[in-house]
Amino acid sequence: MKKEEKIVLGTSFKSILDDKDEAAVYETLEVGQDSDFNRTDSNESAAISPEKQAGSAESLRMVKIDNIELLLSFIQESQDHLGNIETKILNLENSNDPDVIDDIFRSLHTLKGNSSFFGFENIKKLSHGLETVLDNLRGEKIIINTELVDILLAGADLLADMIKRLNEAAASYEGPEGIIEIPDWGDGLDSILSGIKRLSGISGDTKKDTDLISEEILVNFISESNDLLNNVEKDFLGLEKNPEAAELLDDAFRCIHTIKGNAGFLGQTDLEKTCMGMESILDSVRSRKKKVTGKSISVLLNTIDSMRRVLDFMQDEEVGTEKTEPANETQKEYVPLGEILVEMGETTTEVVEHALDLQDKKIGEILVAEGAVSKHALNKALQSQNKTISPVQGTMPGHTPDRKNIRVDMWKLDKLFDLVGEMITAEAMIIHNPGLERLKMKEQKMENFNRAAGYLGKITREMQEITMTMRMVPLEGLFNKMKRLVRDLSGKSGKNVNLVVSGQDTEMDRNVIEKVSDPLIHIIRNSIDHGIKEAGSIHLSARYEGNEIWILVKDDGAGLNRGKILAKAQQQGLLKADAENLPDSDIWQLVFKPGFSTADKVSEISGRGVGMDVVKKNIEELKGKIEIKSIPAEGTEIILKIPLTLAIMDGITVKVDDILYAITLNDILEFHKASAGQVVRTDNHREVLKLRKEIIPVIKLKEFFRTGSDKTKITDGILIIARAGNRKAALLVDEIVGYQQIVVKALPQYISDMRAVSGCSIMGNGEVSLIIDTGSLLKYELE
Amino acid sequence: MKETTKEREIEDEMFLTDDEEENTQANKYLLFNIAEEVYGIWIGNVIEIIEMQKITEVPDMPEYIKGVINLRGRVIPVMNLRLRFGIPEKPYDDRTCIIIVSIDNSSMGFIVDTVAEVHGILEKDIEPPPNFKMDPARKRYISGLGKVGNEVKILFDVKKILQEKELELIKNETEKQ
Repeated sequence: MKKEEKIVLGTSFKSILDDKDEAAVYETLEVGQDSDFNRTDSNESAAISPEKQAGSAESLRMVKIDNIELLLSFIQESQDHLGNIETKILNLENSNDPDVIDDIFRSLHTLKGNSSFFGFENIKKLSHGLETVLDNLRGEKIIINTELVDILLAGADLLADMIKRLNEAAASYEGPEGIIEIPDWGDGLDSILSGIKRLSGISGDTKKDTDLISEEILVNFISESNDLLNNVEKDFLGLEKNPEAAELLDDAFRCIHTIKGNAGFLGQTDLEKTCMGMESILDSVRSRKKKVTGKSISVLLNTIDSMRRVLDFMQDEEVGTEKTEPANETQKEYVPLGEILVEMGETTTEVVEHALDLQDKKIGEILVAEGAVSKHALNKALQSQNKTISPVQGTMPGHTPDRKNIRVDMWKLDKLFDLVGEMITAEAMIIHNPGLERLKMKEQKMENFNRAAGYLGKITREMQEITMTMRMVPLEGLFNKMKRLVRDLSGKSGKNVNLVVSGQDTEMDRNVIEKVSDPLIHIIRNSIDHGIKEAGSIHLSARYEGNEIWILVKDDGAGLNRGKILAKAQQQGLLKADAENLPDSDIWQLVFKPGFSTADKVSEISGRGVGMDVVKKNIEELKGKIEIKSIPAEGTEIILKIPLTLAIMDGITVKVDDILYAITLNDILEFHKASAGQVVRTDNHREVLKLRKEIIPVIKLKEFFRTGSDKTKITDGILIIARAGNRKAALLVDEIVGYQQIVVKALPQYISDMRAVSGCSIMGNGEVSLIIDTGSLLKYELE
Repeated sequence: MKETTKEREIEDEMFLTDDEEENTQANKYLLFNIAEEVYGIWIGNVIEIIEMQKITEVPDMPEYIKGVINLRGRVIPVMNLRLRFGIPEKPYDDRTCIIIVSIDNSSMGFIVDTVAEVHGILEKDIEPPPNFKMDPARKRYISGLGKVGNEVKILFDVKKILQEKELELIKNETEKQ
């Protein structure tokens, strides 16, 4: 508000000129919208009033100019601004483009600031007046009509005229200490100012016009609301378990209130009403007029879903070209749900005594309505639901509201990621530069360099860590979503399913989380529909395992039915008749075949044989793996193994036949130089290493990658004892080059399907090393 | 993209301009030698030409994929066009070059004997690929024969040669299984 004072009173010219931060000024203007005009108005009329004018005539009419250059550039700049303003105002009449309004606003604002600096009170006043009109326009207090455009045009004309006269006056400027006589502005000013005043008098007409909301505001609103809804959902689920948790209730209340406020501001009346309905319910809970029941939570959760759908539609429109029309459609489409809830909300507040009865009744209605919707387009609805949640989910699920966040484009983060990677490579290139070696050999003192290099290394490392954490978000948000899913599904299937969650702190790249979401949904659905009989529990957990993240879903249901799967597969021709002896793991893989389902009937939840196919596809896209463990009558465990997208890892570089390979340090247990007695040849021509009573199979990288045909003796090379999952092997390499931070790069497209190689990296000397995926290497070579 | 190229070509034919500034890419081909022949690829696909450098061998690849190079931080696979065309390999020398091409955001380096020049060849001077017998590997990529004076340059389609590789890989994969 302070800043605004200054602008209005024009006491500190300098400060205004310095104030390049237009956004800040906008903000204060917006905050002060209601009072802004009146105050300005009174101030202006005072200034125009004869006494006042007479009193300050000197200062108004004669302005001391120290620097004529400055004045001329002001005139020049103002002419440029005004030249554009006219066409823009005319555009305004045809389209309500908020960008145009902003544009004019900026021009006027600059003009105002500059004229204020020179002390041209009238120019300042007029541009401020016009600004006010535009501000009201932006704030939807007034709408565009002919009169408004007329006044804006007249104002712009007068401004242009003023500048023109000023220019003429400036031409007669003499000497460095000269004083410019301000020309007579004529009497146009008063009529325009009164026009402005009249216009703002119309401001009572508060017609909401979504046209005037800028795209950015809407997009921010959508994503913020989605975040808030996620919070609310979490709170509600918590409340169900612990109805006494006042802090959850308060948090939900706060979130909903924020959405309500924003929706109201943006003219999303339905959302606003829905929020009001929810608030009423929460309010009666808070005042202990009502108890938290499973039913009321269901209603609240359904409401959240319908709000998400509304937001989803809004988002889709933003993406599309047409901005305004479909917005109304969306609202229409979802009016019924919103209204039902609003009705409910109102009844609960009005008829407090019958609140409970009434509400129960209404809940039924709502559920029916909801059911009708989902039956019609079950898949579609689910898809859209997923879509709504997932893109926003990752932003900052579970973050505390008081933390300061800004939204950054993903591509910027990705770019930063790449750049940090390249910086580390460049750093290595400098520090391991062959030129330096030569210097060292000449016995130059390198202390200074080493210190500087060490400092650089410290900074890059820190930068890399920060950059990496920027994309990492905890799995908590995803897991919360699953809590909700289990709750819904157990309700639908009539089974009592308890979801236990652990490891939700595990952090994952947010892009990956989005991809994992669908698979998890399908797996949990399957568990509930096929695995768990009447009651049971699902344990959802996550942990780091080597350079992978494992997400485990374990149920205590019936387990997979080997016989049934086998029979079905044979029936569908997926297996030959003699497949009876296949190991379990092969049989379980069958469930991933598209269209494969042993379900006798297709239920609402699952049975079409689509789900597991989706699971497989998504996980494979992430270069991940799926493991199934199942024991009849004990349960099924499905493990999603997602490779960490750590773009930078600690690794050991090794050399085999002049080719460099890198192995992540996480997979390496030890290095070993074998002696002849330790190597034993097995009957199938493989060799094993006896190491401290342990027998470890040897993999010769030369043979695996088919780069060398010569029979290298194991004792000549170096063995790297590596572990991946539950497999262990000794990898034979020619030589160990050293430890280095490895920036992982994707393999170029044409060679991306190399066996057991997950990427490549550029070494300090510019050479390329291939990053060995220990897990798949061991899998290729061992049982 | 294609349309604008076409348009430019048509324009060129109409005005027969030498205006290098305006039509820097259309109808321009980078000519290079492999064995006795002169080949050309459309300059729009060419990112740059670099001298021979250390190639990191990559296991498990067809013979004509010599490995990858590091081009200012980008890892790019390199293909020996001699081998690709079924011509015996020849030791690299001072004149051996790698032509970096890019299509649909993926890059590839072609090892060629020498790079000759950039030459304009008008659409009307390009004839369809010949019908006579030719090594099938080479023939598939030829998009036309360009006449420059009395000489004939073999123009080939970078896209085809890259896609071909993928097809083969897929084929190999299925055979393995």
